[in-house]
Amino acid sequence: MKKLISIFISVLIAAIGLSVTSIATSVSTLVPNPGPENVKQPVVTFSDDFKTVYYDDYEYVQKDLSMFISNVDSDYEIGYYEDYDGVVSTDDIMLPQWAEYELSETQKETVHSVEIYGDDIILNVSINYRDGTYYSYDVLRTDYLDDYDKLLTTKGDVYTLHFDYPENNEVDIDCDILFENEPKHITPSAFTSYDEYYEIYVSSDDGKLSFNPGMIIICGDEYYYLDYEESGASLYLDFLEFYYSEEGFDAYPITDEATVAAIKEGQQLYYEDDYGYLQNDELADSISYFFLIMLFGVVPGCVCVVSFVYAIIKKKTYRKLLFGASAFCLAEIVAFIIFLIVANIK
Amino acid sequence: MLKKLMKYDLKSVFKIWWIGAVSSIAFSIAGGFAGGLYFTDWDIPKSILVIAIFALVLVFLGFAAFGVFSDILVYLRYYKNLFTDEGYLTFTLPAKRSTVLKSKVLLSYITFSATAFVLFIDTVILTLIAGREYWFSKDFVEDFKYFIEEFLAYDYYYYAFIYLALGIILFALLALAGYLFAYGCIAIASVLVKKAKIAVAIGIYYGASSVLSFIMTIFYLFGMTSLMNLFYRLTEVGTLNSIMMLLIMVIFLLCAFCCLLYYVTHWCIDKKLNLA
Repeated sequence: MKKLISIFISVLIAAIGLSVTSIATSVSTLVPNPGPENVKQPVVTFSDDFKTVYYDDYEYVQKDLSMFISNVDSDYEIGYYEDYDGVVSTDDIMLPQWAEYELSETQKETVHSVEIYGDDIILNVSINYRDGTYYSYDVLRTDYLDDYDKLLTTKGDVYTLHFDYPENNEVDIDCDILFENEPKHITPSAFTSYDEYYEIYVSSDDGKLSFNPGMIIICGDEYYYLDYEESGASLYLDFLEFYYSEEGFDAYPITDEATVAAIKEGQQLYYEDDYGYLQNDELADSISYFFLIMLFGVVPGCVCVVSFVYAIIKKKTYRKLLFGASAFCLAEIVAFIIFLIVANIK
Repeated sequence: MLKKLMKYDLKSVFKIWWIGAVSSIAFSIAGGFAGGLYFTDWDIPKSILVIAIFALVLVFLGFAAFGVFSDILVYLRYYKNLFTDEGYLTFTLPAKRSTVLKSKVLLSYITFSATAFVLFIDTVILTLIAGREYWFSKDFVEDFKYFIEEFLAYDYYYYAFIYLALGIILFALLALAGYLFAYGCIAIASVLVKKAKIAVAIGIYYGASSVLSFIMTIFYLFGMTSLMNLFYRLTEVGTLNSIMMLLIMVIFLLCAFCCLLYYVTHWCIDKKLNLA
């Protein structure tokens, strides 16, 4: 009993030691990062109605950015969270403040907090009011308004589509092909997430989506190519980093076969680069199946036979156990065969 | 005779175990209040929050210590009762050696279940106290309704229940295999050496664990690729069915593994053990 208590106390002392270490780590992470010294903090101010934002000596105006201009030129590309992740509130909350926010007294009365994401050109502003309501909108830097309007009216010359896959492969698409047909508005019918990857199932109201040779989805400021794994009128977009929007998104049919082929090629390259670290290697695939069959087929099979033989030789008490082991192995092999059938391995 | 053996085994373990159980519940209450500091609207100074983190870390370590404490109690009872001088008396009882071993396995399982139950209650208490402002608000009721609606709207929601059942079975079997593995190592060590049995048992345990983990690592490195490849290619329902079958296969394998471990332990105690 005394020994037990001393063991318990030793464990507790060790636990306290570990806790102190973790506390030291926690404290170091809790201290707000003051940012580089002598660096001027950009200041964010708003017009009274919040429709105009002044940030870092630039002026931004509210714009319904149904289609972002980020894909016209790489200089326009939007950074998401890293560089100018400004999260601040009029209350003193414990978050690093990369920009100073100046709100008028009238604004402070109604606004609880403001969050801004974006880059130099486009910002997404979210305003949380004290009454619990929430307002989010996009603003565009005024000196880029012309570019944006030009893009909307003339649609530019050539779009370089930066697909989420293939990250390093770009596919040039003539914008006339992209906008040849009217876009279809899609409402997501189901949504699941697997860590940072998402699956989305979409279907069009008229059910015609599946008849198109290809589809570009524009969601937020990202472009996605819709995959071909069809399920009824639904199409399956798999393992793409997808920014979910409950309101839906626009899908542009592509009728040009060469474009579809180019995108498919890029897609294949992506899978081979990022997901196919062994999958597309026939030898590796064979080795993989070999281990699978060894673990779930051959080893249990051997155990099953050996246990069965021993069970016949041994006396009563052991016989039950050995028969049990043999039977469970046999059941596992049967389950493995069913698994192979379910999974359609040929 | 099994009932009598069980009675004394349970008495021996639970007369100390309850101290750990009560301590862990006290820990959970303290942890609940410490965790609650993060979810309150009050203006809490940072120093207090730091102390709260300290308390929470201690609480979780306390939970872990309680789990280890329960296991140590079970293993000590098994070792002392069968492989030390006390073993002479145990084996003079009018009970078969198989019955003695059965009693120890049941003891380990009952202790494990009781510990798991107490830790579950601890978690519930901690969560309830920490988030008391949320749990007893309308928001929770609405969120819960929303969750249920969303859950039932999902086409294959019934798979959640199948997976839950399989998960519980798998968890229980893993615990059983763990206890039998340790029992087997102690039994083999006691057969092999006369002195320093515990040290040898720990050596065998780590040796056997390393071999098993090496085999599993090889499998993960080479075998998982085709599995993931396969799941990736399947449809959603196909993947769900395949993973279910995979879990069933693992469950059967674990059952067979438990039978073999029990057989080895039983054989050592019955045929090879010589306390003289």
